[in-house]
Amino acid sequence: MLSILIWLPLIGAIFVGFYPNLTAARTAALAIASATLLITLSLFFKFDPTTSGMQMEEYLPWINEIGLSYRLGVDGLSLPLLALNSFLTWIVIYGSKADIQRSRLYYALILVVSSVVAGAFVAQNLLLFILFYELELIPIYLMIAIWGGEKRTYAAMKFLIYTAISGLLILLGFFAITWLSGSSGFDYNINLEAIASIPLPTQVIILTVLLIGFGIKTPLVPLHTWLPDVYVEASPSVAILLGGVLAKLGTYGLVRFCLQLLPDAWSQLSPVLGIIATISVLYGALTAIAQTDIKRMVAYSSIGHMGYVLLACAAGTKLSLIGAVGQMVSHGLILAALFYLVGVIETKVGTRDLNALNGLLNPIRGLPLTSTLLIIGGMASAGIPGLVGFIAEFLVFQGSFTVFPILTLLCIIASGLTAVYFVILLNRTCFGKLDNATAYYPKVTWTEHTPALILVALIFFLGIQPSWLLRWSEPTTNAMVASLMIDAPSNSKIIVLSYPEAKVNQVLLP
Amino acid sequence: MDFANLNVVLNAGVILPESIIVVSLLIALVADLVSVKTSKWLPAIAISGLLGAVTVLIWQWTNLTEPLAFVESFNGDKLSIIFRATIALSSVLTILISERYFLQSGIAISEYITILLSATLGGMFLAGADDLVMVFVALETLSISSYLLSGYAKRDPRSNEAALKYLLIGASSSAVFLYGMSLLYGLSGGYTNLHAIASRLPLGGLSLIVAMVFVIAGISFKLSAVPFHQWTPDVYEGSPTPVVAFLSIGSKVAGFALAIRFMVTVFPMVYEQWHYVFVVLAIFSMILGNVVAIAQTSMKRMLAYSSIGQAGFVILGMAIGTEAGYASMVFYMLVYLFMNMGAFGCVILFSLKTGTDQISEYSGLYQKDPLLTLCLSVCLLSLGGIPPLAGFFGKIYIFWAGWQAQAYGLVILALAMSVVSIYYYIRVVKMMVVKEPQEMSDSVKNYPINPTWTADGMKPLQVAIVVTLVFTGVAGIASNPIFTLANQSVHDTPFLSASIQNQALKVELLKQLADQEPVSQLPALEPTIQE
Repeated sequence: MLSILIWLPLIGAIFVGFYPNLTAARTAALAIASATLLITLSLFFKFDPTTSGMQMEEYLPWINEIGLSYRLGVDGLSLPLLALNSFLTWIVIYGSKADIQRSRLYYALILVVSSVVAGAFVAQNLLLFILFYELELIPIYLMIAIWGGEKRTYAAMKFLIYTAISGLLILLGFFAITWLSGSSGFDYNINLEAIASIPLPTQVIILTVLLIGFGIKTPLVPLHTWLPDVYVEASPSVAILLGGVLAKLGTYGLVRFCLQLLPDAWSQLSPVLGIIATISVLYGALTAIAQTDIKRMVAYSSIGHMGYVLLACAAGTKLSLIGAVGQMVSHGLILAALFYLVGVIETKVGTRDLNALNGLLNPIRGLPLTSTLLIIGGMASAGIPGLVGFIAEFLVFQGSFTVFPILTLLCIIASGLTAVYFVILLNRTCFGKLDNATAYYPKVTWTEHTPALILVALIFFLGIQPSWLLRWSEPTTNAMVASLMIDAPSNSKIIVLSYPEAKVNQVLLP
Repeated sequence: MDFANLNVVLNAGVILPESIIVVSLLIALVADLVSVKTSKWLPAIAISGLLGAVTVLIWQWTNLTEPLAFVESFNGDKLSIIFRATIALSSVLTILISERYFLQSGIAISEYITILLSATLGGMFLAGADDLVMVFVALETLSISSYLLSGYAKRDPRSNEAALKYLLIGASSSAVFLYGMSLLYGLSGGYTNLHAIASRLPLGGLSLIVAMVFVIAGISFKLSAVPFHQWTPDVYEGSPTPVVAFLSIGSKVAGFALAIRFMVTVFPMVYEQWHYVFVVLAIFSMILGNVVAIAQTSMKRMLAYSSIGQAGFVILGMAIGTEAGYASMVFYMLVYLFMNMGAFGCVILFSLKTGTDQISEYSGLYQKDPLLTLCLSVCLLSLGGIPPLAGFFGKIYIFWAGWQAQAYGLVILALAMSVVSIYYYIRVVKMMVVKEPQEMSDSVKNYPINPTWTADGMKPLQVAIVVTLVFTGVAGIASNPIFTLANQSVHDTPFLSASIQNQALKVELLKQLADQEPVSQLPALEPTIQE
């Protein structure tokens, strides 16, 4: 079942890329993406949300000499992310034009990325994860470099080098974990006892290496320098993939391979991580305020939102970890909506400059529906109640407050700052008086509206009905918290408050 | 002595593969003389001879009971079989990619084939040589043929320059190697068999170290390991491209076969010292090869430096000295054969069509020649270690073997250098794939249809490119058989597995002793372990 998620898009990509005289590349890609999305959704019916372990496991021996095996599995952490991946792939393909330059290569690469990311989320072998993680490098590089903006070659190379270095560090970390825990292969069957027997200073070093690796991908301040260039230079659809899906590889790695594999070291480092997270959040919010390019603004907002995830993981309470999973998904949806709308505005108006944009909400000559959706997206990102962003951030803050009161307060302030820059953005672009002399914008068609409408509808729906988002992950994250508590009993400085199940449910389902 | 007895002593069946190549070489020589018509068949004769040799080698893999031949001067163990097969295959692919090249340059191919076959023979004998005389004769057969090959385009001044440079540096390095061997001959009291020498050498001392250093210098020249690499870029740039392909693969594989056999057999007494030297060679080669490759503008020069860097990775496998280390080396050589040969095949095809090998001239190629773009991209990315191509698995195997042997620093350096290598390989891919139609280079704009795939000598090139492409693409995913092959070749080779066991034992004993006695007592242990 899980293999289909990897192989269907991959075979589809080969078909789209190599089938002779294929004209309808977009249609073919869309059909494949729809099929993948349906299969992913069907996973939710098969998935048992009451247990915490891996489900629907698949295993094939591969290369024993290097401990590589084809072992797949899904749990409450990876399931929502898988769904996010399939969904955003569909959105990206649907939102792209059929007559885009070199369309066959474009759609083939999107499908490859989708397949590879799905592979990384379900891989239960460390080397298999690395394989998928590095495999995504070249397609994304090509997508940035071919369909990007003006400085695309520079941005693509920057992305390539940063990601290659992060892959290197993660590989080193995996080597170290596997070798020091004395296991013969790289299979991810959490042999926590063997790992816990590694001396704590060594564990901390390994964790630091892994953190830098995944931190580059996420990205966390101060490893974020590639992000603004890459997100801005990439075309909107590639930016959606980058920010919505690929950045989740970083946060997924933080939870799956850092927190879950090295809980002792994680508890040791968690105050530092909390501080880094807070810096990321503040930095993202403050720099976003200073931007005049709306795409760059959204890009910086992404840094801040990824900081919430790290804060929640560092706090490591039941509530905060559910919040982290929620934040990953909600950030993916909101960022996708924002990037998509920014892309629409750029193609219709021809600029992303805040000083040039004005009055797009004008019902006759502006882009009223696009602006409305942009406003909702901005509200969601700023954490206005009733939208999915609020749920996730609220859970993160409530869960982290008991552990890091000051840091959480700072993050709440930063979340207020998020509202500030979105007000700036919306005020300049949507409101005000439209310049009648220049405002002859082409109409936005319904096809172009559809992806954003679907995304916004989902943002609304999950904001009102958050249990649909969160109930899959609860047992998994609870088990993670339990392992954090068992392995870090006395020497840890964090006081982990265990919320009774009832209270979690009470918060989630009022 | 009658023939049957003679054959029992000589055990000539072991060199049946080489005999087949000799026969095909002779047939090729005669066929060239007979008429113009028959000389057309030369490549086919050579290839069938080489493939016949490979077939026999495959048969020998399981069925050879007594690998020692010619009074123990030639060893047909599994390690030598796998290296000899690799050399023969590299020669097959070289012939495939060179037919059209020489046809178009207006140079006769007949002598080329015979010289290339001699070089292959030299390499194959070198891979199994167990005797100083044998080693030297085989090495010189390979070297002299290589000098001739690199100067084969005799009207091209650059080819002449390359041949002269190669000859001068090669001759001096042979002299150094020979001097090292003469020291070994003297130190052992007049023996030429490697095992006999090893058991009679003194346990240490300056003369042994000097001999070791000289031998390593001679071998490193063949491996073009830094700092013995200075000839590589110039020779690679000037020589005909197919010859470069052979030098960078066949000749290097022979060098590695020699390195393993010679160092492991003869120098167990100075095990730490020669390992130390190889670690240094690996570090220098990886850094210099990969860093300097960034700055190259000519494709051939870039591949030259990249081959130095790749050799560094392989030397790393050797410097580790564990079973997995040697096996990863064998595995990497096999994979490297196909991916590097594929890259050279594509470079040749491009230069046949456009007459240039500047990297900047590749820009926008995807529009004119998708197959070439795909194949060159796959081969280069595989060289850079991008999954799921074959090179990724080769590198992971080497790195994991190194990590298991606790060579942490080396592995970290190698990983960093493989990131650097991704940078310069992707530059070429970027040129070909990313550039817009309006950024197309002049040579690509005027990209000729001729020679088409049906032209004379183009079919073999196409076959070579497709075979290497398929292997590079699939060998990574379906690499279990190759892993098994590489492991068996190390595990079933007596001298290698004995050395590995000895080392493991030594480490263990040292560890036990370190627990019991003060460290100063340790050197006394060495003689007891050697036996």
